[in-house]
Amino acid sequence: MKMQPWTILALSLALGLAAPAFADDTLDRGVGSEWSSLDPQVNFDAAAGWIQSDAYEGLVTYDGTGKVIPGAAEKWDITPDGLTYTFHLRAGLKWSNGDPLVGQDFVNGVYRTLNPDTASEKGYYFYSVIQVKGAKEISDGTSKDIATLGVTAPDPQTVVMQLLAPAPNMLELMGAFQVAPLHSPSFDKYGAAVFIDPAHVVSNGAYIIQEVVPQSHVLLARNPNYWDAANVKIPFVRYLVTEDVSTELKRYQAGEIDITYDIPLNQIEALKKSIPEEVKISPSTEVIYYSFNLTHEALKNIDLRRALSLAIDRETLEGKIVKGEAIPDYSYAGGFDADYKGPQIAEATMTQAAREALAKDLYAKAGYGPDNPLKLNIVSTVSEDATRRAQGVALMWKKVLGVVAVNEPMERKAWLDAFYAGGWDVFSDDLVGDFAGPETFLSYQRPSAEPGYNWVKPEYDAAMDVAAKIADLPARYEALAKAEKILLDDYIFAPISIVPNRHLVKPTVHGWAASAAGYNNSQFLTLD
Amino acid sequence: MVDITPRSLSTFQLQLRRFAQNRLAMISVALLALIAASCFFGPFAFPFTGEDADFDFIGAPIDLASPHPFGTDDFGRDLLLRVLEGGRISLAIGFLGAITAGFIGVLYGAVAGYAGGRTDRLMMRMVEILYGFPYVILVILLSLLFGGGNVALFAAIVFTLWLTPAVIVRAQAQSLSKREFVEAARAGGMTPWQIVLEHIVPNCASVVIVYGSLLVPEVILSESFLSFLGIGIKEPQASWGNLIQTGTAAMDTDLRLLLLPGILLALVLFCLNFIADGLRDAFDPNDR
Repeated sequence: MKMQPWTILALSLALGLAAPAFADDTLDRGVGSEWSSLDPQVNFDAAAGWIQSDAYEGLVTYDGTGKVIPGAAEKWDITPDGLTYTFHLRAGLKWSNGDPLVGQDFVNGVYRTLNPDTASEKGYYFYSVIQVKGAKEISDGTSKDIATLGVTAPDPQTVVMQLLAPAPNMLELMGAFQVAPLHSPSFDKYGAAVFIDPAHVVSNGAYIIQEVVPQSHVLLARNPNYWDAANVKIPFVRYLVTEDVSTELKRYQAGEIDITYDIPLNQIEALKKSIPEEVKISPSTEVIYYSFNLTHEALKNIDLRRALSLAIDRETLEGKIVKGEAIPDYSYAGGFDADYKGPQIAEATMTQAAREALAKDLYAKAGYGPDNPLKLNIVSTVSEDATRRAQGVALMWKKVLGVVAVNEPMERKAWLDAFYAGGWDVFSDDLVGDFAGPETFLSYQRPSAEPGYNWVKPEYDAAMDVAAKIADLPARYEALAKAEKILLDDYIFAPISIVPNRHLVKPTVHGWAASAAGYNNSQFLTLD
Repeated sequence: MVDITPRSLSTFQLQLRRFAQNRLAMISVALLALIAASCFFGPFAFPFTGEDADFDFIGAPIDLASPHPFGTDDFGRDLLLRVLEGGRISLAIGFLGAITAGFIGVLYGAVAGYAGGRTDRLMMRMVEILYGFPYVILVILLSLLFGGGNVALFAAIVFTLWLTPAVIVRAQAQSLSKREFVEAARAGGMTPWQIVLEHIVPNCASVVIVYGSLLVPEVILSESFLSFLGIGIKEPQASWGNLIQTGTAAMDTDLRLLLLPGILLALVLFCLNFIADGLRDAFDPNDR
């Protein structure tokens, strides 16, 4: 007798066993470090976003190639001025517990993200990346009334979003993991803990969370109430914490993992020779940049920040030290959308030798020298490429300027916490854009969005506001480029590189596609 | 008849002679001295330090004619130099740690063993409580307390390693305190402290020396182990532990990074164990 997954599930629950899913039924995916949060309105982490994309479905979603396709909404209308989006939900949508899914659930999700009580870091999506009417007021606490929010559900089948300014990338953002609906009954009853509680969590995606084991894995099981459940081929998906890439590779080779989170840097060449079909390297939307702590007296000096940025030999760093096929980068938001002709840092056209000479002058001008070296710490994650990059940068700073820099690698969660706690001089920062365009990056840096850099620059906000009002994409990009110039000229960070997505994918997994946004929802994959 | 003992020898001289006859131990002493000397003085022969990167030679292979005879690591730092500098840290922590831990342990054990009674019970229960404490957690707590770095690491290692010598010496001291010469000393009016320092401690010496020589490799291993886990010596400072850690990561592609520090660490540990073995034989021939 061939058992249905649900029989297995029921049996296992009856026997009190955890996740005895047969290996062939389960797609095992590495997620790198442990998810920092599984709360759909709080999670800010791209890797946890994959879990979230499987468990929750937004109004629209991404296919593997990065194209926006209908999600919970079947179709949508956009007014000619680009300010009002009307989403029409599919008929008969249900939550995983069978409750009907209505437009108000999406409104509640946005509201909860913005609500200061939620302490979510991603409210800025709704008042900065796109400017939803009333979002700012709710986020800064001046309004507590959900009715003032420009996201409404006039009837259970419709969600209307009103924007203050046109946002050509609006749909791409909605496809990312940022806009999940909220199942209010379970949330009201159990609070935020419900999202990691498999017994009570209610979701609307292709999968439901069946098991959460900290530092080990999240097990997802097919959601029978998903509207397209018939086309979800893989019964179980297990997201495994794979903090160490070398271990991950060994587990992949042992057949424990079907899709890896990353590839060990020093193995890339060898793997490309031995299993070329399984090595998937493609451009991503992740930019690596080293942020300087602007609250520290020494780093308030722009000459010093500039010197530090120039002393990094990005080509050597990425090509010879990190060796992760990352592309050296001299800008922040450029390099993702070919239509965007953004600026680079002023010295990008110089040779590295000239940059280093200039860096030395600026360093001396800032009052430092061999007898009085600058001392810095670099806070990075423990991942191999992050620590290698940080150590490489520290060595370059030492060699060129004589700076004494120490790398402090931290677990991902601690690294995120450390950023907001502020105990860093230089933060090995990275931002994964939610879509392959400049705006997702530039909006993040807006001082008014309070990204935590303590950068005071009303001019930048003003320039971004100018761009935000333009509905025509080329003109908008021109205005964005002006804003980026202001950003780069202040050297509040040193752009380093654009890193690629690196995965190993077993030949038994079909349907894997490459996209910059990096979403490959498990529902579109099949497993032999 | 020929007199085979031309002059009388002290116990210590006899012990030294017995030790000198142990060929393996003597070779170990020579080798250890050589390694230690090259770790402490070798780096002075280089025009650069182990924290200076040479970006023109990244991951250079072994080439005895180049400025980097044993090649460079993935960051362009001279491998040989880093291994020597790492050895400096590892050996220094090893010997200093063993001496400090031994010193604390001997005093503590001698006092407990000599005092006896309630003081002894109280002191030894404390040791047992500390024994029960999970080692790695204790180290992490201590390095948080001291804010990380070499001092924290040293403190953590000493903190956990003085316990065993304390127990050993306490047992020794307990039996010594009942011996006639101690009673004579007491009758002669020596204060308890004087007795502990002048009679108990010197009489424990042989046990302590043997155990101490085993303590050194234990400390070096602890240091390497903690640095391997990332809570010991931090980059860019080298230690054998963190060098081996980076070496393991690159094991599949470049074995050289693992072999050089690994072989040196193994050699030192072997030497120290052979020396300890030789010392034990020398001090306690009945035990053979």
